[in-house]
Amino acid sequence: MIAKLDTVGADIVGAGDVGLTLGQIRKKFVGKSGTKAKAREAEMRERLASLVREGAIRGPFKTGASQLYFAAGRGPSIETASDTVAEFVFQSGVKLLSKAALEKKITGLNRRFFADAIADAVAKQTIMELVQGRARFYLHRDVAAERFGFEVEGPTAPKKPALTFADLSPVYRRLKAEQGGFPAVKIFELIRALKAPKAEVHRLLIEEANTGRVTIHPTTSVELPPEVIDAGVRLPGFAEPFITVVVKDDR
Amino acid sequence: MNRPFASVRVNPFENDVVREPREVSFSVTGLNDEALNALVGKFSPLDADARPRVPPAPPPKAQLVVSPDRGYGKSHLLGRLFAKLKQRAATIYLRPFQDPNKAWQSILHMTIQELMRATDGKPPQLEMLAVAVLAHLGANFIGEEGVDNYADAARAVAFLRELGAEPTLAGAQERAWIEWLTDPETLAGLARRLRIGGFDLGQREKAWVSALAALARDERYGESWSAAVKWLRAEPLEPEEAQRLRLSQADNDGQGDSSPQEIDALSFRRLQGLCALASFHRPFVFCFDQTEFYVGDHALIKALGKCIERLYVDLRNQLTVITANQANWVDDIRPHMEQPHWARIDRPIPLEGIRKEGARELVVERLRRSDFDEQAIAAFFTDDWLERVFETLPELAVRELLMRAAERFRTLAKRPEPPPATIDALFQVELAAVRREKALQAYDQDSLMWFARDVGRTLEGASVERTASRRYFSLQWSWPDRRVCFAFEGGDHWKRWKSIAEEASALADRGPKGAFAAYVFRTPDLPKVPRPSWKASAPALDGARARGFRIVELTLDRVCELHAARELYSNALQGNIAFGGPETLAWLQARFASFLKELAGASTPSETPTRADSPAPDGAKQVPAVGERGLAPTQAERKMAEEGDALGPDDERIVLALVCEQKIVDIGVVLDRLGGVDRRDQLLRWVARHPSLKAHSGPHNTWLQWRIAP
Repeated sequence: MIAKLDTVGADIVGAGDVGLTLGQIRKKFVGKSGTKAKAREAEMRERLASLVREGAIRGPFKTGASQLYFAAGRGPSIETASDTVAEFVFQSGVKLLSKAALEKKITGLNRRFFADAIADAVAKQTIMELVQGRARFYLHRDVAAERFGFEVEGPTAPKKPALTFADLSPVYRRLKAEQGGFPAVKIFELIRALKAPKAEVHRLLIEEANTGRVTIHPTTSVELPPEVIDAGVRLPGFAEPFITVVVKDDR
Repeated sequence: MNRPFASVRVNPFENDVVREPREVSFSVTGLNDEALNALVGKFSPLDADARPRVPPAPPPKAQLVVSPDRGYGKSHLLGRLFAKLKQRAATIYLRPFQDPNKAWQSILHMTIQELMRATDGKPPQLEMLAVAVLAHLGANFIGEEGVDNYADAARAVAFLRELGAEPTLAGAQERAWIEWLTDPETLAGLARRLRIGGFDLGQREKAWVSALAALARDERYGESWSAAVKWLRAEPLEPEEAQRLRLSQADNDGQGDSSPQEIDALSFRRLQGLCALASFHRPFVFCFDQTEFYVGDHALIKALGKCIERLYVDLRNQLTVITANQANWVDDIRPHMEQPHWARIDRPIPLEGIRKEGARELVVERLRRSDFDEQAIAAFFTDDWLERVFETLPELAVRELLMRAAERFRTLAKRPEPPPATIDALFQVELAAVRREKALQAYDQDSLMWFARDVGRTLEGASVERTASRRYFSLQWSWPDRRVCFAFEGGDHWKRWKSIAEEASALADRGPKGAFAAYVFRTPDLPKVPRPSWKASAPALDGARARGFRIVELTLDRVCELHAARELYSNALQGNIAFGGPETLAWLQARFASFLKELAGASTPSETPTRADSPAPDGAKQVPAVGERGLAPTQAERKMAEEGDALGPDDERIVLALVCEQKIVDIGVVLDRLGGVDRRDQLLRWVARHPSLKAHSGPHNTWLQWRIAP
């Protein structure tokens, strides 16, 4: 039985980091070839393109013969590619990997983020770029620290970098897509999805609200569970807590 | 510096809720323009082509306007949409329906009521639609079939097209053409053109043109005009009414003994016909507002979903707009809608808050409207007041801004903050609003059903339930030893009332043992029933009466109270007042306790309510006869009622002089000069129609204001 296209966005969201291939989507929403399949296929592609334009999903990502779609905030990204790059550089130890060699090791969907991933890992000081002529090589910071006998920064817990709008944006998009494109996302849901401390999320939201990139809103027309109210932002001069957030110009 | 503020009695910022979208007269530059333009953009293809549009334009998906919270301007946006499309669309404001089995009947009745409103001195939209359809059909008829021995066809066609485009009957020439167009012989030709033209009216083309002819030709509220409106409302016509419209028996398709499903199906077909005929005039815009009302009632939500689906699939020439607070829609409404139904709704259109620049514009406008000069306005903004309002957040809900501006005004006027408005005071505000607007006093089955169901829930030991399996008595209060049933019928066809009476008798005889009562509410604007001429239905009505059947004639005061109660409850559900839904409902239940008790107590047939608004002990027999038309208000009676709103030339002069001189006056002062508080409603209705006057109903008092720029 051919499913209705209205659920394609929800299916992609449900697939999480694994994503859905075009073939899987076609099988479910177009079905076997027939007289009406062509029209359904065109409708499906238009629907996918529309979801991509709205920012609810990302894709298509080509991997081999397949094309993959992911929900916003899911699947390959600069961050996932950056982690993979750092891991290869670390494993290589003092046997330095050239940029070209490293690139060959990064396969699959992370490949398209390779250039940004190198820049990201260098910027985070996870790896170090060494230059000889035109060639570039990479050394992991932990390998260097071990060889030089640098004082390792003791047993203090690793410090998480401060939450930024770049962290918020993909998660917001995913939550927005999961609730059918409705723009006001509960701060409670955002905190859970970001896996970040409440105070940190509140700090970011207030900062971003002041710059005008997001707006925050009370929710006074429904009864809310205490945990949702508790997760809201309280500001002096406002009687009601701010329960939801809208990222502006997120279409 | 404080003097100008202290001298003004009405805080210009206290009115922060849009009660009636058509009253919206100002909007901040750029605020929510994107949302408005999105709606207008969806509407535009519907009226892009020349009239008549063949085939009728398919609708876009329903447009959902969502607000992140209360006070972002949902109803205000509808007001702006109505104003923007004033010359392009028939705009229909739909309050929530209450009976899931008769949703289309409710929508049809609200549509007809809206179409009967006269605006800007022009005829009601219903009459303009009638003239436009007839004129275009006449042009088609002359152009395509020709008229014997008539040489002026080309000019006639051009003239009729012009008349169709601007369908008012201002001159003698237009009226002469209407005479010709509504001649029975011509009407047959017009019906033929309609059928050939591909408008699906379910084989009722002749009936449609006959009804439209009556609307175009007869005096407003005249006999044929009223019969046509009745037919459009999918009500059965008496034989003499059908004869007036020259309808065949088949065309008089509203059956007296129809089931709710049949009534609803016929109502839908009428609405479908109206939408199809909009090809000749203006497309419809149906706006479902106050959707918070549906929350908690899954049957109503499902019915709303079905309506949205069928509007998209089966109705042409229309745009559907829905407004909602996002939290209500996402958490409470959408989960109970069928997926194929909510799939007919486009992606949501969000509303935005106001920023500093817009806030300045709004505050200045409100101050200017209250006759403050530039110096006073500058004083209002001193001490960086506006900067401080926006220092925490750069964007606020409009209502939040207005509340802060009201607070600022009180500070400058050195006026203490008034005590929080009591719920009773808020009820009085709604009551005053209903009393001054005649359209809000008309029969409204949704309000009555809401009252009997939601407010009636408090009755001790009673279970209140809808009864879908019955034809008419769709609501029941039950106790172990007694039952009270309610039917909601605004029509006056003898056969329908015979069927209602028969069902009441059957319920009394067949149901569980115990006392029984069956009520049908009537409001003063409806024709009185039963008529003395209803010989055939008299035995059924007498029999039912003996078993506890009563027609409850509500007084105008009671109607106003019930409608005000529903508005108050709606405001509570939308978060427009400081009281929540359950709290408001509990208060209303206490407020109407004695009325509810009377209705409940009357379930023993020997006990009959004794109040003026309660059923007469022996119903119809006491009702006096008024002329051949039965007891429907005659045209002359309606005129007299309208004239009753006039104050008289001398009193009008007194009011105008007083308000013009003082700019703003307590209504009590004005009533003193007029000689009595009993003229309050009459005064308010007259003020509502006067372009230079405006009434402000606050929780503590009512003021009359001289409008600087009407």
